Amino acid sequence: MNEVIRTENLLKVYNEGMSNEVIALDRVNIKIKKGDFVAITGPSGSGKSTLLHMLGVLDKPTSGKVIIDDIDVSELSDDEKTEIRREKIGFVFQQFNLIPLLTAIENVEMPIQLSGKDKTKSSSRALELLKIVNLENRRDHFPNQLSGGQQQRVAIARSLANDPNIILADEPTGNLDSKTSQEIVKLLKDLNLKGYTIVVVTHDASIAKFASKKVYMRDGKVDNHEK
Amino acid sequence: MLDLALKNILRQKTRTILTIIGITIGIAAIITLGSISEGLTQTINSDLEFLSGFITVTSKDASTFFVGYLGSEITQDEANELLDVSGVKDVVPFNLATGPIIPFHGPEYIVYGFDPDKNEYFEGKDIDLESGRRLESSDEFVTVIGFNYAETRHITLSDFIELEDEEFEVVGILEKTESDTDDIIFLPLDTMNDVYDFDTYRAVYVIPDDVSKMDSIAETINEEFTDLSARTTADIAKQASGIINNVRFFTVGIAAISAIVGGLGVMNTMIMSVLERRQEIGILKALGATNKFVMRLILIESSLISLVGGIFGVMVGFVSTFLMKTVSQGTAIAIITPNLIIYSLIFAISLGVIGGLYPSKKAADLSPIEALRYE
Repeated sequence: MNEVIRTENLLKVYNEGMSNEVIALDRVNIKIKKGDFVAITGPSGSGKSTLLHMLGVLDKPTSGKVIIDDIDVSELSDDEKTEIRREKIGFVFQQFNLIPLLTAIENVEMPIQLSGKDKTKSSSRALELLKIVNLENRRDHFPNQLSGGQQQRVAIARSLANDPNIILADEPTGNLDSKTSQEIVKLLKDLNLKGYTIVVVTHDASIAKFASKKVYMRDGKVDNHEK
Repeated sequence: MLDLALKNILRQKTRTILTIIGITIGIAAIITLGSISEGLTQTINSDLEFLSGFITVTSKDASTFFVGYLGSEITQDEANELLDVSGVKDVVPFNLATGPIIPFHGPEYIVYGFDPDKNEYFEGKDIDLESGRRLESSDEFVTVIGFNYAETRHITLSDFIELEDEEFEVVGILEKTESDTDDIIFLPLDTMNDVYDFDTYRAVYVIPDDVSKMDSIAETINEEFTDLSARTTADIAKQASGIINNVRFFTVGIAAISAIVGGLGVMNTMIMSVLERRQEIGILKALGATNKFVMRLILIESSLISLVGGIFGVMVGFVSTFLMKTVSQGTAIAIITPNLIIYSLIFAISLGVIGGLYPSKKAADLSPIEALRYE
């Protein structure tokens, strides 16, 4: 069984029952297998990011299920959801979202420490990850001392911190120029080749090109579901 | 986590410092006022100790022990009659006069006249002499003085002090006691009465044959002498604890109010800080920080602020107590006890924890997705 995540009739309605009701996700069923590189594309407001947030257990569906590793996460308590996010999911955001007070290596260490590992273990692991993204020489730089591309690479290293089952990236190249974007895309591709499962929400055709599976969304529905 | 908390509170330095000052002022007030009330308590207690075993007799409507039985007058006839009450071993009269009053402290000095033959019943009997001797039966224009009175005026043995246009030779100086005895002037009772033109005594001590009969003798005096009032140590102790409690309640109450205002400052600072850091808190939660972790982080920050404020407050309290003693030339009695420090610090930390509770709950309840959207 190599399914990582699946959704069943996932429904998300904002302002339910009011005049400004919005159906962000309309009974979405997708399945993601181990080793997949999934690109979720579609116009703005089509529900791509909402779907990614659901997969990442950041948001609660109105109805339907998200099943990660055979666990129905909609049944879990807040703390259990937090644990799933920490142990099974890595996030990469458009705004990088590094913690400005912490250095590159401390940012990468954060999720490891949150999972209760001790300082020496977490810093050696974090250094290893910074090597993967080729930033070990920037380990003690603060986010504001790094370029956008470097910040995103730190964020990718952070997403790998607890060796997650899946990496969820929301427009990871959205704030970067095209040359830097290429580096990030290449990095994601390399990680996929190393066996990481990756789901990317993107407008970037170059990412979509690499994807092993494309999900096109329109008006909260999955339009086609290739492969 | 402590590391992250420290970095967070150092991020807005001015705001953190202002918040710390708020707590510092409150805790310094508690230490300063608390030390005064502690000093007062110890003085009163040491005064009470020497009274044990006597009945104090004053005129009926005289003021309390603590303002020197102001307005009380006992005649020699009354003293003689008291000696005839059954069970009374001795009647020991004394007189008091005070120097100019210093605001917030009391009289600059107290003149205390007693019969040197009955030295054993008087305040000062247990205080060792710094130098010289005690008053003796044949003494007339001589005096034994308290440590502060001598020190602040640079008086040494054989110097003369002037009271009511008469000169008295200093024959003895008492050791320092940290009580009001440090500002005392002892005179032989007969000389004092001549010089001050007193024909009555301020009060008398009635000494019982048997200490266990003290209450019944006091009762008899109160019944037989309608103009007099007899009080035992127990009565006075009761009166004293009432006064002490009032003083404590008042001083510490005022100080606590200012500290609580400081605590509100902590709460305000932490609420602002949580609002500014919504996004970061969202990131932490997305990365796998539990609600408990977020709550603890904010609580550690607020407790650190108030602990630092508390420590500074204790330091400022020491300085202000020291200044108070210096300005009053050692006459102000203020004692900082270890308990006062410990309770003040505990109070400071509790303010931080209580002030941090609401903001930390608010931070923990942030939904990660809402917090991430907020930019």
